[in-house]
Amino acid sequence: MTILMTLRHLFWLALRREGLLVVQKSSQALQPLLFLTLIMALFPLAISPDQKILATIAAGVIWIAVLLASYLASDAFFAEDWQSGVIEQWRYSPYPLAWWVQIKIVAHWMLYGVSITLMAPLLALLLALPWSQVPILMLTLFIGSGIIAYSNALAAALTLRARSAAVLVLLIALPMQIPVVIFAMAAINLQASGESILAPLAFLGGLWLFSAALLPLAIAMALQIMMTA
Amino acid sequence: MSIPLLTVNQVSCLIEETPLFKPIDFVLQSGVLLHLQGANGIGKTSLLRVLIGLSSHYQGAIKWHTPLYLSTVYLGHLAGFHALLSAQENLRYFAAIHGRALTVGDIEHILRHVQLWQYAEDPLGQLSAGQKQRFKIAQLLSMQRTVWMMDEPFTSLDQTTCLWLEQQMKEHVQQGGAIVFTSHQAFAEADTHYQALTLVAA
Repeated sequence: MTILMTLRHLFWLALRREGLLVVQKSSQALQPLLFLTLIMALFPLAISPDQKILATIAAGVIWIAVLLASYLASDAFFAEDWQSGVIEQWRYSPYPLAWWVQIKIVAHWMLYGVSITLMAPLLALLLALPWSQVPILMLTLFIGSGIIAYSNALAAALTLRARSAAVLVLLIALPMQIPVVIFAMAAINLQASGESILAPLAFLGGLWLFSAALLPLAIAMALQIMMTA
Repeated sequence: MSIPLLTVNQVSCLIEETPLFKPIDFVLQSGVLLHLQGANGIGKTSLLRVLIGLSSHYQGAIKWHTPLYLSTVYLGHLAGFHALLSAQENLRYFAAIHGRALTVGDIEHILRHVQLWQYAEDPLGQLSAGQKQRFKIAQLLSMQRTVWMMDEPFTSLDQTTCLWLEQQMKEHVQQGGAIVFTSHQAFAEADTHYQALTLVAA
């Protein structure tokens, strides 16, 4: 009888694998971050270098760019593991399929979400966002990128067998992500006007927990159907 | 003593409600090496996928007497590894999927066993087709599962490695394991463990 590994050991092992893959494909992996920085650099050139004008749109622009950058590689989220048969092997694991999906998404979020959050002060600097708003921007990006990671993964799983998956991913994921942008911006604006940000943050947090708890199950079911169909 | 592991009753694979081959019956017991034979396109791969639940297009009854996720390992046409990662990393991850923690020593032992240790650090995508097939066999050996479901395990292997693999398979069934495999190659020395099942067009 095989002694099963502890979940923590398993998690670090899988995280390490995703990390190594990012290193192996570093040019591809850095694409979203580069894309994000380029958009930010273009805004002052295209709109106005006037700091007052930029400051009013900065948070919104950063959020839109983060959302769009997240689509860049998301249609390929499961593609490699699917084509190479790794997902097939997940089915013969003593651990549920949803667990492997969960690890992959968390690893992805830790690599992208956290790096985008850490980049936020730099992006804020490019767009002259007041420093007082940077912490709340980082907080909403941190939580929001978690929700985005789950919904993009769901869209990627549903479109695994589609030909032009990129557009479909966008169409499926975007409606789920609109509330994220609305509430993130609400939190940032409320804080700017000195009001309580508890309500929008509570909503974002709730959405995050909801996604983390339920979407891996839905994704696992989608993968299961794709496999046996 | 042989233990029944899998009972297959009047099973045939379906393509749009039409059976691919004449329904088959067998009981897979421990100590059995079951060779699925048949012409190209008759449904050998489909049958293997149906047996392990990767496809639901079948008629008849399939009953496993042991939990698949603890007893079975599947070696299919797909790689089961990531071409950009090294043999070591892939093996560690594959083992983790199957709930086994491999130490550095275990990995060295297994890779030496399939003569891939000198390439342990290289991305697997750079190896030859035969070496990749050897790696897939290393994945299978490292899992220590009772039932091996192997789809064309001899693909791309040279003659020496084919004989070596046959030997591995024989030892596995002698030690109480069971194997279902597809192959167009004749098995060199058929012994008492060996059974062949030929799929015939419906």
